[in-house]
Amino acid sequence: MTSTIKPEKILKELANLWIEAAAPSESSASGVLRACSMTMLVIADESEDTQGIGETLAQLMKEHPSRAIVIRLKDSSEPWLESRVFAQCWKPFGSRQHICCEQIEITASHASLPDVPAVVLPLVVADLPVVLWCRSGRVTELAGFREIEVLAQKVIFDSASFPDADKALNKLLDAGLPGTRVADLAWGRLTRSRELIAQTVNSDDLIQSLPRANEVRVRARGPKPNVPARYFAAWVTDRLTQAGGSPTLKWDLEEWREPLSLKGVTISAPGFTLSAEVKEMAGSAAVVDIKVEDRVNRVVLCRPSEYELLLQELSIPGRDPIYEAALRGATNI
Amino acid sequence: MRFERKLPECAVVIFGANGDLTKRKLMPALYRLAHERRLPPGIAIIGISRTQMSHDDFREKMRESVQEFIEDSDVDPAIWSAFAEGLFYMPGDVGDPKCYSDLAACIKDVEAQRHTSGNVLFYLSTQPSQYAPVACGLGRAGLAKGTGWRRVVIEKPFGHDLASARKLSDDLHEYFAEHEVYRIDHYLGKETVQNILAFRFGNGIFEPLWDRRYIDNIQITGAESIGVEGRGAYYQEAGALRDMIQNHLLQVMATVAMEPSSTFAPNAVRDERAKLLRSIRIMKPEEVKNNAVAGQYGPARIGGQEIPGFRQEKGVAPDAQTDTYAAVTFFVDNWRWAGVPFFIRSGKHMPKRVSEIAIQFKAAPHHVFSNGNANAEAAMPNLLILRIQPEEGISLKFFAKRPGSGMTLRPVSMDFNYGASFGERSPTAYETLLLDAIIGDPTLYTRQDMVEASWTAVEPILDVWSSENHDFPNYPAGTWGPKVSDEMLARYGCEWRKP
Repeated sequence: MTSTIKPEKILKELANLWIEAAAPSESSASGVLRACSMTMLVIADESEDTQGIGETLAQLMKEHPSRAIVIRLKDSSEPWLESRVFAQCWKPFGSRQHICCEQIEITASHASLPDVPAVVLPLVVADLPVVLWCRSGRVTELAGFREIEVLAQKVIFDSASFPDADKALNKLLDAGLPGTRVADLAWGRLTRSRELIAQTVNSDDLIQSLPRANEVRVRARGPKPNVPARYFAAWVTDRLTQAGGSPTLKWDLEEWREPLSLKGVTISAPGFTLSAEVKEMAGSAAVVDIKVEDRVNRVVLCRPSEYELLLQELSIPGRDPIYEAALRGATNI
Repeated sequence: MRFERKLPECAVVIFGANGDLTKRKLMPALYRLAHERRLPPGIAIIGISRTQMSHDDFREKMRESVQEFIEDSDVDPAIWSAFAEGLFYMPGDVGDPKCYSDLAACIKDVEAQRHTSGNVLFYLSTQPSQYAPVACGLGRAGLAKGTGWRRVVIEKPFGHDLASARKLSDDLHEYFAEHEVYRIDHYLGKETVQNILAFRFGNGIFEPLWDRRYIDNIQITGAESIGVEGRGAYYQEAGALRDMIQNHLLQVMATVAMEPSSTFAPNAVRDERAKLLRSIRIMKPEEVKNNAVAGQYGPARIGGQEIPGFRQEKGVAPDAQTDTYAAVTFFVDNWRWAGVPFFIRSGKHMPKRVSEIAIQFKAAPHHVFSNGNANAEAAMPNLLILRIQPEEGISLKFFAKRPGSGMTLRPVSMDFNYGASFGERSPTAYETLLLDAIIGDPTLYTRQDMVEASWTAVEPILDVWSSENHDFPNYPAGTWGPKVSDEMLARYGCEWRKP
């Protein structure tokens, strides 16, 4: 167990990593290509699926090669800091050359997290975006998290990892410095459902009815709507308002019965009703019935993986005004 | 064209031969030159210090130093043995006139043994306060003139202000002509600094962009990740502005911003550097506050390690007003650079050790791809980074379309890495500069008019700072300096690049 790490040493190890990787060997006669388009900071509790993080990053590197700095937190009040450096390499189909990205893994106890930001600061790649993926809502409350958060231009949370919806939304609103872009994987999970509704209303007759929309009814579970339900409600209401409608938001809250929060949404206007019902969960899929008047369209939606959600977020380099409006709306619900 | 320049036989006399610079830099550089067969075969190196030592003791001590501090290779016993034959030692106190008469005799003996043709290079690796007394001692003993050439090399600081720089120059000139005085600035000996000239004037594509029309601002950074490392007492008197900006970084700035010289002749290049330094706008006292920032690091924890603040360092006064960080906005009053800010910063205990020049070009006049979205990336300007250390090289940052549908732009980098491109070791700055001094090429050495011009540029800042009581410390160790430094750039609509 060590309690100190030196950034200069890590930088030296990184330099040596490439010297070693560049050395000709039997397996890689064509050398390696060093790829980096951003710094990907990951912060996670060690109790979480650590292998999953590694696999997700390995997949992400192919589309978003980056210097990944993974901070693994141990639930301990003893000082503990360790680091290791390694390369993630792959050979694209048809290519003779390996493409490699560097990865730095810092293991820290909760007590040592305040010592980590000063280590991470010099490890950030200059002139490239810095994205922080915070995998655990719990760590946002630890001392030292804020200093790491402000290094990033984009912070990705998963509000599902927060114990409480209000806490999650407040954290999302307050993340980083002014101008820091915030994302929530929970919002990404709604993309397909939102897309379905958007595509359904995008017909000549329905689109003309939208300014007349006067009610949005969202069905969710539990005593209080959770974050996805609030996002959905905020998004639908906001979009209808943008289209000229003035809908009233109403909630139908069910007893807690099954592990699904958003049960459905109904948009009503004089002359038409559109409802989306999440009928059942089958493994990692959900069946959604989109009903317009008496026409029903049934769609099976697969639950996106963490990798797919991150990929979705990383494909948005600038601001995401639709999400920002939904976040503001969800906070006010 | 096929012949190497012939190096003259000579004796190199090192004052302060038992000091750190000799052990860490000079002797490894001389040995490396010998290893590469770049020294004349009859070269003699005479070390002088107060310590009593025999020639053999000195040779052994130097072998240990070379072994410890040489980079990238081991000491070859056969080459060392031949090299060590040319090493001599003479104990002496530079304050004692006898030292110089003894040295005269020693040089005579060595000349007879090694056939050094009367050429002597005096390297003053001593305290700066001893430069003038040593030059005077050499002059009075008749050692400043001889049958061959005589040159004297001195290390910075060249004075602690304009007046003392002039006084030092006058003292040196009493016995040595200006062309015999080699003021070493090891930054100028670095390959990447020399490469700035090659980059600018050996290529046709960059120079047309090298002016106020295309360049928004230039940032020059000399950051160290370490503190004063036991040099607290010295550093307390110097500070970052004197220790780095007045000499190294202003020389780098001059190299980046100078006009092309008509030839690569030593004085032609130095004339252009000097002209640039003289074109730096001199700040009025009331302008200093907005254009110069002093900082001093305070204690911090980095990676679990307690880092003491500067005032807690050994040999430093608990209320020291020394600037361990300095940042200055300079303007150059000439046709090429009118209105372009040159932001120069240097600091101790920064997040990492890095020396670089970042040339920020003006952004595209219209963001075709922003699509009305306030997209930060789309507004990011092009950057040309000249990295002096580490990972010496050049990078050009620009935007490229991300593969896939849609027009999403991402910053990318086109990199030239010195080591990877040439596949051979770059000589250290001291190797380059020592060889140049022996050959008699002062291109990379600082001339007195350049020294005076750079002191003239920083002196108003030093005057204002010395009259103020700074609220130090104002940045924790391990960060990029005080907030006021960011504010200084924000006033010009810029921000510091984080290397």
